Amino acid sequence: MDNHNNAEIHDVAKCWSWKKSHHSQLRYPFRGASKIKENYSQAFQDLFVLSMLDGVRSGTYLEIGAQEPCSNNNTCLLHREFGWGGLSIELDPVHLSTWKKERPRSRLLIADALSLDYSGILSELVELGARKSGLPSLFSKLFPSGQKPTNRIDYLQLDIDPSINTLGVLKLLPLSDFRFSVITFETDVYTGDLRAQAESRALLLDHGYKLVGADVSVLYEPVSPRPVPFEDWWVDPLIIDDKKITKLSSLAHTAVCPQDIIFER
Amino acid sequence: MVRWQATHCANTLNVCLGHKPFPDKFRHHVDVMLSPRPLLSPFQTVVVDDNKFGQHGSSLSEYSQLIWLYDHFSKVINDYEYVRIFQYRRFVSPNDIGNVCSHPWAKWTKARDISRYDDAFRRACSGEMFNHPFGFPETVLGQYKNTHIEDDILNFARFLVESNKFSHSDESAFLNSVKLIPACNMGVFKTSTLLWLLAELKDASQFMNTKYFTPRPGYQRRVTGFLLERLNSYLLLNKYSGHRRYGFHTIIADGPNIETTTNISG
Repeated sequence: MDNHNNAEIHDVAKCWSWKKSHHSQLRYPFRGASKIKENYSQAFQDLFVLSMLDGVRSGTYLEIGAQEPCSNNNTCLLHREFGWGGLSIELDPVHLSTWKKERPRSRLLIADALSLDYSGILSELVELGARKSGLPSLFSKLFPSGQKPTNRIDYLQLDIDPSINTLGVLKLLPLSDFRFSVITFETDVYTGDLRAQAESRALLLDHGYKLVGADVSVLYEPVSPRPVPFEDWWVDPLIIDDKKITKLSSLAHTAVCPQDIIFER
Repeated sequence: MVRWQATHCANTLNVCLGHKPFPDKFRHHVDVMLSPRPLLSPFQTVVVDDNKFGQHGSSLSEYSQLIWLYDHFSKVINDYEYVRIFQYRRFVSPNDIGNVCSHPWAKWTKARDISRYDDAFRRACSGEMFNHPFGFPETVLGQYKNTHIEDDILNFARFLVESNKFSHSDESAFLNSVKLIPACNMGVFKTSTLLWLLAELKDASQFMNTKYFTPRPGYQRRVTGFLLERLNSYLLLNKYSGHRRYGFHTIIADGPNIETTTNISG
């Protein structure tokens, strides 16, 4: 390997935001990656979703704990560059004005995520997804005979504070009636509180999901100069390729940085 | 047609109230939807749960959303000069539009015709606008008694007096008013006017937490909302001296027979 490639790999390992040249180092290259100019997630969650779903367009998301529409946001790239739609839920109305300005055509619900009835919300989201334009979708590739699984949402973000509340929302979701292709669950185990991690893992494993990013770390300098474990990344084996799951599971023995998952090192 | 005087600069936040969305084709008129339940059609919806307002919060009806707006005023309103409030099936039009309906204080129009009334949702305003006041054949007391429960408005007025929000002359003027602004929480408000009005109404909503309040079942369950609506109208007509113009109460419906939700807001 020449010096130039070494430098790039070194760069990817240290870099916490997307650079256009990174597409050539994706572990799972996907259509549209070369056109991405920037990403918005704090720890490459947006790239994780796209990597798992082969860059699917017009997907559907449920984002719980949305905060800002772009900064450190996991659905902004999906919405802006890949035509995704969905629902973002946020407690604090202070974010209304920035959403109106920066993502005026994204659906934002200001609400207490712990007080909602998710059956109705998810049914409406599935319906919205089904009504989308006839752009090629992952499902049509996976289910050419038209046996598209119903009640599926492509991406679920769970991230409200503290993590015990995130667990509370997970318990409210009708997991037996709806499936999520990719899930990011913020455990915040760096705080020392392991309750949300333990219970969410038991619950999601029980519903057949696969943990492909255990204790994914993020650079959070108020806490530590080194990356701290804060999130679990999950996929649905009914949708995600077995080879991806096997490979990523082999990486997940210890806390990993998101770059380890997203990029080939 | 006289056009609503408007500035060229967007200075108005359009807020829609309702448990149902504004007609989907025209959701671009809605900046923020305030709703008691999650709605996915508008781009930005705030869910205001009645339970946040205590044991009798559900008696507030749409005033729970308005009191929430008051509680979060600076976060939501920011630098806007005006706030336009409308509802999922009604709005104030600057022009006399629509057709005669079963409510003499309103006219009706089909949802598809909203495209002709962009002026009613313009985000650049230069003045306040409320619905035209309507002269009822009876006083507020008599009119309330016909549709609701007389004791409730009498107890409400007594509460306002005994908590020093009303003088005795205010009480008399309130109960004996013969003019009301129908659907008076809608219109174009200066932010300072709305802030004043909502502060008064929030203060008065404490009625539901006092000995003066009696919870009611069924349709009368929304008793505090009915009473605040009367007070809202009284305050705008009698306690507010700012310059305002009156617009036209327009109901979005399929025909002239309007299903009643309250007796003065239709």
